[in-house]
Amino acid sequence: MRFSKPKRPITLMEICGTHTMAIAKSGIKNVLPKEVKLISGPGCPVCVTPSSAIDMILELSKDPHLLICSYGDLLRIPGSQSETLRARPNVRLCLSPMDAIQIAQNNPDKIILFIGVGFETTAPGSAVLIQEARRSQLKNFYFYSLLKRTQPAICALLEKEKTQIDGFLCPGHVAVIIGEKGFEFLPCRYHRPGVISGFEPEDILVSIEALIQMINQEDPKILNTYDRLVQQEGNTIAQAQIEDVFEVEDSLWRGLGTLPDSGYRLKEKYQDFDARQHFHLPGLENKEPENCQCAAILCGEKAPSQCPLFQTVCTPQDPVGPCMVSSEGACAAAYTYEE
Amino acid sequence: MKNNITLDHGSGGLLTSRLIEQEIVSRFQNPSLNELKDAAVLEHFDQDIVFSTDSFVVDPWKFPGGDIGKLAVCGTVNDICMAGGLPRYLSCSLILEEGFPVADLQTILNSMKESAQQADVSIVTGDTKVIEHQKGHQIWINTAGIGTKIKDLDYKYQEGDAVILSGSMARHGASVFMAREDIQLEGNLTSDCALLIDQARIAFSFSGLRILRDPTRGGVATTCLELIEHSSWGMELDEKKLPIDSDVQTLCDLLGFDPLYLACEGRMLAIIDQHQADALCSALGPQASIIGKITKEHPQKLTLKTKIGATRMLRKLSGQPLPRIC
Repeated sequence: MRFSKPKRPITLMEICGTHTMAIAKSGIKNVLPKEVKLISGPGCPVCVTPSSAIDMILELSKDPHLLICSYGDLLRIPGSQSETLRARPNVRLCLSPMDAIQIAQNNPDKIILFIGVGFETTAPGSAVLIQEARRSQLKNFYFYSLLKRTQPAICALLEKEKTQIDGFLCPGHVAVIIGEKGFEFLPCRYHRPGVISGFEPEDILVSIEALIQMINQEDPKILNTYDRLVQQEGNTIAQAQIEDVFEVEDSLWRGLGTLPDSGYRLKEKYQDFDARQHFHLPGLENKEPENCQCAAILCGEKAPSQCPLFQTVCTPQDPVGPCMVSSEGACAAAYTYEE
Repeated sequence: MKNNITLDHGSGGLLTSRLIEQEIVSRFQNPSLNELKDAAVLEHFDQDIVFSTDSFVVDPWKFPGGDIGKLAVCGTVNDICMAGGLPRYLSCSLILEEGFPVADLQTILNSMKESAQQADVSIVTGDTKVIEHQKGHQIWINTAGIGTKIKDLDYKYQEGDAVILSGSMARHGASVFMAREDIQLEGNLTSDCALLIDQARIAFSFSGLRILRDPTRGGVATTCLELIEHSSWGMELDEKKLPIDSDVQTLCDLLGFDPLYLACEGRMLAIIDQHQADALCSALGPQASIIGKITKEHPQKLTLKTKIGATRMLRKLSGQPLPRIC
């Protein structure tokens, strides 16, 4: 396909880790007009999880009566002492949050701790898990919420002084839940265009072209090229599940610091399942590995190749920072798919 | 025979003898094995010998489309074929965990027997050890194989040589992952675990055949890289031509895996003179396809021409693939 010629150099950010991966895998950067630069944002759930959270979970995992359940990617993130959860015998990989119900029922003598990570995409699944835990009257199940909301992170990036982001490739999966309306703040508040995109290379190419056109015409809007799945209002049932179980709270992001109303915690009516209360977990600290540039990379300020650890000390086999750990992190994508 | 393997089965005493006679010798029947010597005495070979060994630790030992027994025979037989040989003899060493059900061992040995018969190889020597409960994992098998060399294969590529894959990729890696993680998806996803003797024989008959490999661990991408990393040639794969079954593709999409890095256990990669490529493909059957070519550009590097016409690098697999979050 032919792209419109950009009237000036433009920088576009993709916010979703799956987009980062799809762009790298299909080689899209190599076919874009030279004026268009793509950067990766804070959209990989593992990447934005502070290492102090992993340290805390590692500490908890020393208790042999505890079974810790989470998703594959999370199990590989090193804490501040380079330990990973995967090496621990009492950690179980879940493909669906509902696996945790089965694990809890099959192990009545153990305490099950589910680590909930992700954005609005995984929050409804976590909500259903907690509702189901109540229905099943589980007494050995706790949920540790590291869930995050996308909008506060995008706002934080746009409010940084040196931000040069001209438009956004909006995450299709998040939009399935929160709808087109969930991104209308971009043109309304920040005068930036956004295109909600699917994950096939063709979806992304069409979405980038739409962004170039809107930037050329200085007519920022939210467009939806993923309308086979995303509706204006989003998935209202899923939104209601989130609303039933969670409430927003300030949350610590790797690279962005503490952002107001950017996380989800359990509402009081579900506090019997809240791991923070049961285990008396303290708040998270903002400490990151020395020289690791994940923070700047997550904000789109640096490319992976500008990190002194990239490909030398930090590789997918032996990752230092979260952007290399997650298969959807910007560093892992650059390492695996780019020269 | 007791219901489960005990440490006594590995003691070298009565139970060991019974296990070997009742379960192994009676199944694998052949003159060398029947003699029960410390080593098999084999007839003299006129040709050069091809010799290979491989250990099998697949977990779970049974997966859709096969089990560790079938894998242990196919794996070593295929390695011999890929080195230009036709297999004649195999060894079989079993490392059993105390408590492993004898019925499961019988299933595995039956699979070995069936695959060995299909490959026309004799299992002529072996060993059995038992390790304490929880110090091993159910069953591990080592097989070594001896074959006779039929075809000289070498890394002497020429620009434009074709890269052929004998069938769809990533089925074994995908189906073992499904079984290991007990993924509750409906479908008929089975491993491609199979002997490659027939395919190798067909390939040997082509004068322009350069080299054969079976893309096992690390998948097609890692194997292709190994084929060029010590040469002065590059390779380009064409994403549009990569044969991937829709069930494998769907599972990979769901879990965030790249099928280029998942193992095959019954597929052959051949590099052949471009002028003979179509003929080899036709001879191998409709499943075979040309997936790429040898290039003079970017020596020792593997590139992928993507579906949108862009080009990107392919590297070796690093780390174990873990399913993604969303």
